[in-house]
Amino acid sequence: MSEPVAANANAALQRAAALLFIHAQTGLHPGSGTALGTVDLPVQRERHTQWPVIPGSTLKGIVRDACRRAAGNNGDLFAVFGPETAEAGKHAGALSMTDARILAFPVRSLRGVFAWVTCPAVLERLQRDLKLADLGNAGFRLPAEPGKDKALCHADSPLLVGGKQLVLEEFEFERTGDANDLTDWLAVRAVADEATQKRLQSHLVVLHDDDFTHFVRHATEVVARVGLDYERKTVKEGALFYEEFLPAETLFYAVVLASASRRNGHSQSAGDVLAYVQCHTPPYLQIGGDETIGKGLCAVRLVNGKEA
Amino acid sequence: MASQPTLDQRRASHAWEAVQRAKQKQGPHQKQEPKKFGGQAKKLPVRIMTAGLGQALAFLKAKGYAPGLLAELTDWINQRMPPQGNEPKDLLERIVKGNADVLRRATDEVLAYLLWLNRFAEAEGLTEETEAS
Repeated sequence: MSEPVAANANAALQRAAALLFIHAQTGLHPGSGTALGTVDLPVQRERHTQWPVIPGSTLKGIVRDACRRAAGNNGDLFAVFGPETAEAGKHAGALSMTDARILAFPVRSLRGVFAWVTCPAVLERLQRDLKLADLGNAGFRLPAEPGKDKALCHADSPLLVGGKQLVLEEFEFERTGDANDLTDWLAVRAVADEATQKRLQSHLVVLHDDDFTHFVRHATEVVARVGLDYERKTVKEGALFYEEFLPAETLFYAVVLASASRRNGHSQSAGDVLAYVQCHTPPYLQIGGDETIGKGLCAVRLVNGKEA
Repeated sequence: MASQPTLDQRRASHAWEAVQRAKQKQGPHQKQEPKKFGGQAKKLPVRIMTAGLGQALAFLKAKGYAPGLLAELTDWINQRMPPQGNEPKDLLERIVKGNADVLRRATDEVLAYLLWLNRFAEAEGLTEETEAS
């Protein structure tokens, strides 16, 4: 969180930060265009981890659009998000956003319907991001490293079969401990809805990095889509394609950094910029493709430094 | 780095040979329509992604449309992940009896291999009309 800046300090050095939590409520398709693989329309993934990602540029565009609708296309909007393209050279916006990173991924479970899985590599990165944003001092303790085929979750989790076993997709895991510090921290920040907070606490599972990566690669939804011949109601030649969706309940987070306004006549501080975004961002945003077939509806929470 | 073909090159090379064998009805492909081979290979990746590798291969075996496809997959996986000790040599059996790690590795490898196999099958005209089977 930004310290109060000394009166004579350069206002541009001022910074405020927040975390934007994203909770998919319907299938999510942050697309990457066409591909040569099995799936014609895959979701975007980080090159080195193969984990799904929502680019910062996508996210900023969506938040900008939401704020424009809420507060109007005026000087304040330009101060926060940057001017329109024709005037792009005049000044930069005051808000920057990182790519939204995967936080927890829902996986089918034999008991308890589904589990949110995460892993040490994700959590270490979250802690690094908290530091990057100066939100570090109010973090959570990293849970112990679970081994391969091992899992950490709440001792009374409804996911457990026979007290210590978890069956996720077709894989079995042995519970070796809990990650309650993490789940307590996460539940109250990542989601607003009380029932979901409770569910997150009992259904969050920390797995080995490799086990987690296998799930985010292979436990997405692959959906066949077709175009029908209008007259015959049969599939048009060549109109069959496969699209990949991240399942509903997937959790992401992005780091939001604000500096003071650089726009002439708009002297918002970094804190004001963040407050503007917080005030005008609605609780739900539509992210990624296929808006008109009900995809990409996400609950979002902007948790600023004081709360994080 | 040693100057040998990359993993992807080796997959491609094996897949190319497999498609040629299927086209000429050689080896395990003798009693199989070449276009059935291509058709089943095309449907396999999505079946794996939706139902899992074991289920998808069991379905393929039960239907018996393309026995050569199972044989080629088994051959390639056994090259990549040579069976240890008294581990079975048949891919489906290996998956059923193996541990979770065998399944995870085989899933990744089969999917990567099928990309090449399908590309070459298409290039060689081993495609079926879109119809249910």
